Amino acid sequence: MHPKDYKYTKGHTWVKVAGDVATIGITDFAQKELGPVLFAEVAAVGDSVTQSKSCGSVESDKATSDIMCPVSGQVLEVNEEALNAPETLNKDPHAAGWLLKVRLANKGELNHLMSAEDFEKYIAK
Amino acid sequence: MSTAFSGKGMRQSNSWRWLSMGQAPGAFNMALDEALLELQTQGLSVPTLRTYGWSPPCLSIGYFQSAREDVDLEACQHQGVDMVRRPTGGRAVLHHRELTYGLVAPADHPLVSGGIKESYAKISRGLLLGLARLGVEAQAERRGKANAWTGACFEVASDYELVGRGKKLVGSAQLRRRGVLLQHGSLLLDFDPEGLLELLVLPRVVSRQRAADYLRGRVGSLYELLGREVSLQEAAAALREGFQESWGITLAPGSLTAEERARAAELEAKYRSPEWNLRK
Repeated sequence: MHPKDYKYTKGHTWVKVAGDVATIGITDFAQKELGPVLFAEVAAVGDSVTQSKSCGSVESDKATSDIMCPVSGQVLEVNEEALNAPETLNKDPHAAGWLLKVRLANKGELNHLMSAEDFEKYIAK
Repeated sequence: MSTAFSGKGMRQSNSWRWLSMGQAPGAFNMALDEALLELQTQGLSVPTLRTYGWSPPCLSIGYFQSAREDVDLEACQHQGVDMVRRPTGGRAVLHHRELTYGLVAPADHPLVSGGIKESYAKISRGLLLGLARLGVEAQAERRGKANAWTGACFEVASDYELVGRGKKLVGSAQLRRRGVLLQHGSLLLDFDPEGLLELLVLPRVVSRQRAADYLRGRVGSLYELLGREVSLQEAAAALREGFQESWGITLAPGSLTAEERARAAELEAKYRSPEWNLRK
C-alpha cells in the first residue's frame, strides 16, 4: 500500500529520492483520511522549504491539512496537472499525485524519516 | 486516563482550558485561533476549548475560497461588515448573531483522537449535549448535497454537521497542522438569510428572494427553534456543560498567556491584510 522505496513523515507525506532530487506527495493513508480532495496548493518553484514545516495545503470536504515537508531544500518543480485536478491525489497519491520536487539541501535529513514498514506501524496505532 | 503528548513530545495532562470570550473583530478571532494552534505545535500552549462572538459583524470565507468571485466586497464595506479569510476550509459564513467555538488540541489527545472522522464525532458529542441543555434536539447527520448556488457555507451539509428539525444548526471546519488540530464552528443564535446574501455574489439566474427562501429552509438558528433569544453567555455555558458531560472532565476556566496574546497580536496584522484576505 505504501511503496517500500519511499520514506515517510508523521504528517503522512512521502518522499522519493533520486540523486539530490526529492519528489514529495501525500500518502494513501492521508487521502483516505481526508476523502475527496477539493483543493491543493504547494510552495512555488524557487521557494525554500524546511523539513517538518508546511510546504502546502490540501482541503477536502472534511478538513484542511498542511502538507508536512519531508525534506529541506529548494523547490524545482510543482505538479500543476495534479494541482488543477486534485482528485488525482485520491486516485494515485504515490505516483501521478506527486506534488513537488525539491533539490535536497541535506541528505542526512532522510535519516529522520520513517521507512514504509515503520510508517505502516505508525498509522496502525 | 492516559496522558497525551503535544507536538514536541512534552507530556500534557488531560486538563482542558476553557475560555469564554466575548465579541471581537474577525481578524482577532482568527489570529487567536491560529496562535493557539501554532503554539501547541511547539508545545507552548495547552488543549483549549473557547467560545467567542464577532463584532463588528464579519463575513468569513474558507482558506481556498475565492473572495473575488464569491464576495461582494463593496456591499460588505457599505454595510460595515468586515471580511476575513479563515485558516480553515469551507465557505462563507456571516458571523453576527452567533456563537463560535474553537477547539485546539494535539490530534492524538484521547478526547479527539482517532483520525478526522472520529475527531469530528468526538467533538460533535459535546456540541450535541450542549444543544440538548438549551432544549434543542439535534443530530450529527448528512442530508445529501444540495446545489451550491452561492459561496454560502450553510447551504451544503456535509458529514458531521449538526442538524435540528432538518435544518443545519452548527457548521464546523477543521485544520490539521504538525500533529495539532484546530476545529472551529458556528452556532447561529439568529439567522438573516437576506443579510447574508446581500454580501455574496449570486449567479445572475438566481433571484435573491428565492435564494433567501431556500436558505431559510435549510438553515436554522436557536431563536427559530426555541422561539426565544439566547445570549452568547447562555449558549457558551451550555456548550461548556455539554463538553464536560461528554468528556467526563472539568473544563477549567483559564486565561491567555502573555505569549499567546503576543502571537495573536502579530497574526492579527495578517488577518487584516489584503495580501491574505484577497489572496484569491
